[in-house]
Amino acid sequence: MITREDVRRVGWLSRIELEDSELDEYSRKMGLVLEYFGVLDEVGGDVDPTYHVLEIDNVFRDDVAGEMLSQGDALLNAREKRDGYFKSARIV
Amino acid sequence: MAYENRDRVKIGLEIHVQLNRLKTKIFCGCTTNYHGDPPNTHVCPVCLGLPGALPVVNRRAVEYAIRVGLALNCGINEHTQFYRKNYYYPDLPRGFQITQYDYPIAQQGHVTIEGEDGEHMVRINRAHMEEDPGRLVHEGTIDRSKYTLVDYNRSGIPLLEIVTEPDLRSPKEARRFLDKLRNILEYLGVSDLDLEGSVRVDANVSIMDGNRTEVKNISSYKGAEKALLYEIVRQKNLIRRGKTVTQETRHFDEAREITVSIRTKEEAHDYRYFPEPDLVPLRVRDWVAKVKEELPELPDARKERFMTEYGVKAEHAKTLTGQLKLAQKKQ
Amino acid sequence: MSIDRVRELVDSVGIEEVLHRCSERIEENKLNTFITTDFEGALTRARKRDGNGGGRLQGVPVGVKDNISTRGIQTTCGSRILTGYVPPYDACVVERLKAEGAVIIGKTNMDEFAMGTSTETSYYGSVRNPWGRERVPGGSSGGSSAAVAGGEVPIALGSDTGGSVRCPASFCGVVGLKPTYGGVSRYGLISYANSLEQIGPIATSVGDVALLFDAIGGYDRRDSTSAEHEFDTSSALDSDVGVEGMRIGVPDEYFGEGTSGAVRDSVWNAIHTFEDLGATYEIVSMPHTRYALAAYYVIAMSEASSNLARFDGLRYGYRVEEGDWHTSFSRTRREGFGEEVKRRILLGTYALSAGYHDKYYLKALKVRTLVKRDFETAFKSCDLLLAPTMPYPAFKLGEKIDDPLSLYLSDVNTVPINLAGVPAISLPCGFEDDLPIGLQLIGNFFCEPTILRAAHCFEQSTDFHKRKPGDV
Ligand SMILES: [Zn+2]
Repeated sequence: MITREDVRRVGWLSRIELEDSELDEYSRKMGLVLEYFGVLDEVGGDVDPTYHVLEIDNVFRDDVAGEMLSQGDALLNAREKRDGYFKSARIV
Repeated sequence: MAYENRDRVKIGLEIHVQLNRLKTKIFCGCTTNYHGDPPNTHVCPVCLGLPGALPVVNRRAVEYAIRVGLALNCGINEHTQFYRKNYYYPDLPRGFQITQYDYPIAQQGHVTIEGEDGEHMVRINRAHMEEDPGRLVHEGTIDRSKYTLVDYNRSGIPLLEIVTEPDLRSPKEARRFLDKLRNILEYLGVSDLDLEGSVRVDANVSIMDGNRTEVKNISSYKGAEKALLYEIVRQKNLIRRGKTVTQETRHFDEAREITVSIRTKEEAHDYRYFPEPDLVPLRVRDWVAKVKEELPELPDARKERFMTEYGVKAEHAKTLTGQLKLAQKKQ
Repeated sequence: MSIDRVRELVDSVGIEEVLHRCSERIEENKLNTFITTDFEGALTRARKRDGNGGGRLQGVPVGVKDNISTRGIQTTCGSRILTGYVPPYDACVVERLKAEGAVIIGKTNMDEFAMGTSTETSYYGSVRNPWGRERVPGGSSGGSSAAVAGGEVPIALGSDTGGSVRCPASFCGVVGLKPTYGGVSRYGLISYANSLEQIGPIATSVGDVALLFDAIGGYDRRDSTSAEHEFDTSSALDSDVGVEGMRIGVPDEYFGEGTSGAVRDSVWNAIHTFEDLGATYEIVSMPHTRYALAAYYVIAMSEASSNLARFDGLRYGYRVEEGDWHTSFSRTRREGFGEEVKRRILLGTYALSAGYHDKYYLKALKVRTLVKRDFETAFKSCDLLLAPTMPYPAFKLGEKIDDPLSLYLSDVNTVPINLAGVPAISLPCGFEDDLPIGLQLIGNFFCEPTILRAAHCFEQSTDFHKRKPGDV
């Protein structure tokens, strides 16, 4: 139902590294869940989807300055930082 | 005399404009005047993407977007909402960008420019609101750098992405369109386009009805014409040598004034758009009339008026109204 | 232990002694209910406020689920990926607790990112049930419920995405409320599935749950989905009002195949108790219940796959340094997330991806509309709905953890409520082999006062809440 290749592709899309040796187990367990989701196909009739249960709209804030974090607090939880920047691995 | 457009050049532009006349970011209260300030000093839990922090829409950002939409002769969607565009980059603190997808704020407009053969209408496909990502600093060039530094001061700056139809027939027309747009935005008072990074342009380019390329990273109005000139010549040369143009994304290298192919590891994008569950729909029907009423006189209308009221000649009126400051002086 | 009793203790023996007793109790119980405790900080904060205390929770120790941001106290979400993460801000509910004088003593254990029904997916180890140490406490707010049941704290906060307050309340024999969607601010709650979840109070009595709900609930401008609704729970506990004439609906579909005999009997006894108190009941049908579970999991996983994209190791949390950014990112998440979380992210990504979006995600949202309509129909003729919270009492540790689907199926009676967005409370209504059974009362939108009143009346006329767990 969901192939090893599907799992590999979804793993990449999710940025979760998966070993080749894990793919079978993932596809088996995910397959069982997806098979169960198949029950949704039984539901017919076209209705509108419900994204929000409450009908709230037009919620705004005014264009007024709020509290900002100090640079120290912003960087407090970063493992790697430099000169006030977050430090990331190279992009490519 | 009608313009021939012998090479059947078709250019469409996607222009990202910062609505930086706003005091605060689009989804949080951080101030937008970060230019020249130390990195990561205009940030809060929301624009840093800290777990649990939630966005709330800046009312004026929506008002500004409506202003621009109206000025570009667009229809304003009564019902509009935000979506998540899921992709990963270190400048994107949540692993998705809050943007618009279906139901953008503005759709189906047009702008008239001085074209190759007189007045030329450029259709606007849409204009939508989104948040700017942070800023990356590479040590040396992007492909040589050992690491990347990230500053989120820019994260969450309100952006408007304006998308044209491929109605531009030459780099010169593209430049004129951009000049016109700049003029309109300044009249509207929504953006200070002199600030660094306030405008970014991507261009879709094709010739002879061939494949189109997307040229990214054009960071100035002047750069646009150069990038387009280069790209058109490149495509012409390919065709002349009997090759076909590959449909691809290319990067404009501003220093070398060329476009280069970028192959990203992320093969096919799959953005998995879905409505942002932390934000509710916007219904702007009652707003539009009010914003329309308060819209300042735009360059075209003012040009018209200068010509009729003051008897200024067309050429002169264009120069006068082409720059906001001159136009104000004349008033 | 009740809020009133603790406040008396604070007055008589002092806050330091009260906190000391909490800490001792946690140590003796060894239930693994807390991921982080901060008694030193708690005492400092309590002392600072000494003297100006007019709050309704003045000096009352509280456990806060570890997916709720607490300024200065590590907040892990039960995950390795947030090890060492110390939020620089307080969640809205934490601000409100503090304003009422409550003393946060620590962060309670939970299923990783609230994804579970047993608190076994926590990176910090499973929580044990005070009613039977080899049993799960339920999940995902297992730490909060077990801590309250075990007498470690009188009150605690949980979060409920698909039953995560009500399930552990049921399994641990305490009271837990899932408020109306929008009733309590989510600002500072680390999102699992934004459109479904609410923070909810857990305590040993309906009265304490009502008080805690009152303290944390209400509009917050920082949460765009927060409702501008003023709850009035004050009359809810007024014993003069009662349940006379109240119309109770009993949804047939909530007594499915897997429901244990004892659960069925206890819940029917509860129905008769309500009858004795002057309420009437009718069997109602909620035909889309059988699709609710699948719809719930599709929506929850889809939202989760996007919510959890931010955990890349760059700004906070666990990080693996390996090659370029995308590689570091992927490996950080490989090591930082547990199996169940990874599986849900993968499934959610799949359900949103090109070609499957309409089949899974959009379809689930349409089914949600139908489930919601079932509730709307039922509430036309009923004031509240009554059903078992869980189909069975607490199962054994390890019993279901290797079979995700069977674990998901445990949530069959709790998830429809989250899909519809209505409020529900779980409270003790019986025992099976000395393990508590939970009764679920479900109200219409913003009808917390109704279900609290009914729950309170039931509690007043029964003794189930008085029995104390044997294994602590
Ligand atoms: Zn901010």
